Amino acid sequence: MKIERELMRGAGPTAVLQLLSARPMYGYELVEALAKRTDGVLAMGQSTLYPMLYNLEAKGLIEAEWRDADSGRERKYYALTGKGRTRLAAELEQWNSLAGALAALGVLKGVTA
Amino acid sequence: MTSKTAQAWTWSREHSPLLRLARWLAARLRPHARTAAYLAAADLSEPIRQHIDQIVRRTRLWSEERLDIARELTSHAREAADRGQSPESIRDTLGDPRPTARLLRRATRRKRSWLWQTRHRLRQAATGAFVLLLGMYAVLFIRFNTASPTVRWDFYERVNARNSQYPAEQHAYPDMEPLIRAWSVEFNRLVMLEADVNNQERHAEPESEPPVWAHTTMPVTTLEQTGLAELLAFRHQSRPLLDQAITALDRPTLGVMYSDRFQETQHEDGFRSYTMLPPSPEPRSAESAIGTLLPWLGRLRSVSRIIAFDAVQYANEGSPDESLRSLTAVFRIAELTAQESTLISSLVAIAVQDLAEVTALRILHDHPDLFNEQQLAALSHTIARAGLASANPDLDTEMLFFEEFMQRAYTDNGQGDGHLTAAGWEAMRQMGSSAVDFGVAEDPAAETLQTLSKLTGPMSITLHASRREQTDAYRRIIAETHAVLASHPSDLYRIGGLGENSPLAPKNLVDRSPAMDALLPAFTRVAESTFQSRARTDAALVALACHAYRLRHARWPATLSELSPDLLPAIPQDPFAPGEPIKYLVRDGQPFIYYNGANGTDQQATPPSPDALATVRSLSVRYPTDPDPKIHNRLAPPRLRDSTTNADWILYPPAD
Repeated sequence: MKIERELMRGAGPTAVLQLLSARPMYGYELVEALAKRTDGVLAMGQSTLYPMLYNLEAKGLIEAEWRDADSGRERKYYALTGKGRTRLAAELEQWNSLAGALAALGVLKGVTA
Repeated sequence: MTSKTAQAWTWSREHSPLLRLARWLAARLRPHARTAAYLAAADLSEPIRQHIDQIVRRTRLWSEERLDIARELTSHAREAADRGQSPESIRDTLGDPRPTARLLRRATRRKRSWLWQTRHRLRQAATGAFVLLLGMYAVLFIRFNTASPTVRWDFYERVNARNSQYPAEQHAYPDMEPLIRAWSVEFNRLVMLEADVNNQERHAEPESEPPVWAHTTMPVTTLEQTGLAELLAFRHQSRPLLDQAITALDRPTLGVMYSDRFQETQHEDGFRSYTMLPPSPEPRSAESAIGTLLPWLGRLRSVSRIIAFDAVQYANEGSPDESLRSLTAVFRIAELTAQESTLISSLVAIAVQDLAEVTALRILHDHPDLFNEQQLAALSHTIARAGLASANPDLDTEMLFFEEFMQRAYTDNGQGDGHLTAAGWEAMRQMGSSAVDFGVAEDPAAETLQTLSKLTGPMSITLHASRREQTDAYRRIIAETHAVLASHPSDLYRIGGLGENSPLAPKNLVDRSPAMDALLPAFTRVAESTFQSRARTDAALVALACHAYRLRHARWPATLSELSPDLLPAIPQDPFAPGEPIKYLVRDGQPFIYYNGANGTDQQATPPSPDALATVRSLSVRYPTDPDPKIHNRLAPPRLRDSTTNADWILYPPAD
């Protein structure tokens, strides 16, 4: 399902921060994870992901580091910073509040308030 | 190369400031070089390589930023290829190069340092401001160059209205021109002769002082002066021309008509004549009409000297009627010149009046028994009438000049306001040039106008004072000058400091008012000259009354009260001493008529040195004209403690 750009703008960064909260990941890995774990709802191309990553990096929420993979390829890994964790926590709270409110209105199917 | 050398070389390549500078320059000059080299060596299919190259190139980022993005996109493409994605699919996920590059550029720039961010914002602000100013300037430029003035009334019709009432045969100037021409040629000849003779004498006797030639001191001359014979010969040869001019001066007007065009003719004898042409039928760029008047004024002033010389010679010959006639003619020149009703003509009228009065007093002093009482009375009447005309400048005509310029240079919104037009801008520049040509304007005004280019003209709409602001200020100055002239010299400060710290025309207004700056005549100077002229005329009338008294009583009056009211209706006041009368005393059988002078105190007719005369009779020294009360309230300026200026302004007997 194609998500409206404005909605993606809000959800995309939170999703990336959530993924990175588990462990550092590289760009392609993030694209795959977003597509698979959200059934394609938050699937995004490189032209969307990398600008988003750079913006998060500019805000100090994530940091990047080049590493050599086992395959010999070089990869740029992104990891959450302390500031990123704090921001993620705040956004999760907001999203949960939003979800609860929408569920109470019957907007979210199969989700109770 | 040993290992140590290699290590040293590697270290220096990494840390050498010169090499780092070189690498930095290379990155700035060819920011895509490293990225291109990296992509060329990368393990990528050609379509993807080109796609990534396009994206990165379009970002227009710094060299290291491009390389970082290229590495990341290449890494992503390889991962995708390793997982079996087709090149077309990989290219699709990379996205359209243009929007992708734009997003990457924006996001990457956000990662730059705060210093860069600040500079970037400032550059954006400066660019924005510049664009805004450019837009505003474009609007002003169009407004300025498409606007045109609205001429609502005919200036030349108004200014020529008085002279137009008189038929040509009642115009004095045409019958004066033959004398003017002859005298102009003769005077130039005498000047050249003086230069030649003085040069020869200097070569023969280098230590000798050059003689003072008669044409430089006339109308008063001495028998020993060089060149007197030439003057007398000219007077004799030009008798018919002198008589014609003197007769013509009985007419009611000079008959000088203003125009914006005149024809100049250079004659064989060197004389340059000016023939006025009718004013242009179509409104054209405004020029000062004063420029068309100046040649006439200069010649009137010059010819007054030869006629005054004629009066002195008649007196020397013992011919009172003829002497009086010539004297009257000089006073008539002053009177008729004053009728031209401009500030510059007023100044010339005052100068001619002064010349005539000095000549009359010199004749009285040298020939005390020349005139009878009736002739003295007639001369008094002539002096009083001419003095009344010349010492009351018509400043309303100056206002007319200003309004004429405004209507030809500024737009008119129907409510007396408007902005400068391109035509007006050019007119101011030309006016500055023509005024300089006539020797009236000082260079600063002309330079100011000339240095302003057409590109800065449109800014005048916002930077310069509006038409109304300037006109209102000019009107206030005129009104205040009239008020000061009806008051007392101690009020000169009220029109002092124009263009500087005067509340009437402060510097911040005059600086924004190029028309005022160029046309603002020396009001203080005119007012002071007028007050001085009145004082001289008063003194001349007192001298004549004293001479009339002497004819009746065979002695000089003991006090001036003996003259009043029969010979002198009222005793004039001393302009340098408020509340005090003009000063009079008799010493060694010689009457002295004088004023206190710039130090404000009676020095019992102590004469100043020739160098100090201008200061002693200066009213602006006696009453400082700076509008600052701390300055103009001082009645005894400290510099007058100088002994050379502790003197009186003596009007009779006239100075040698």
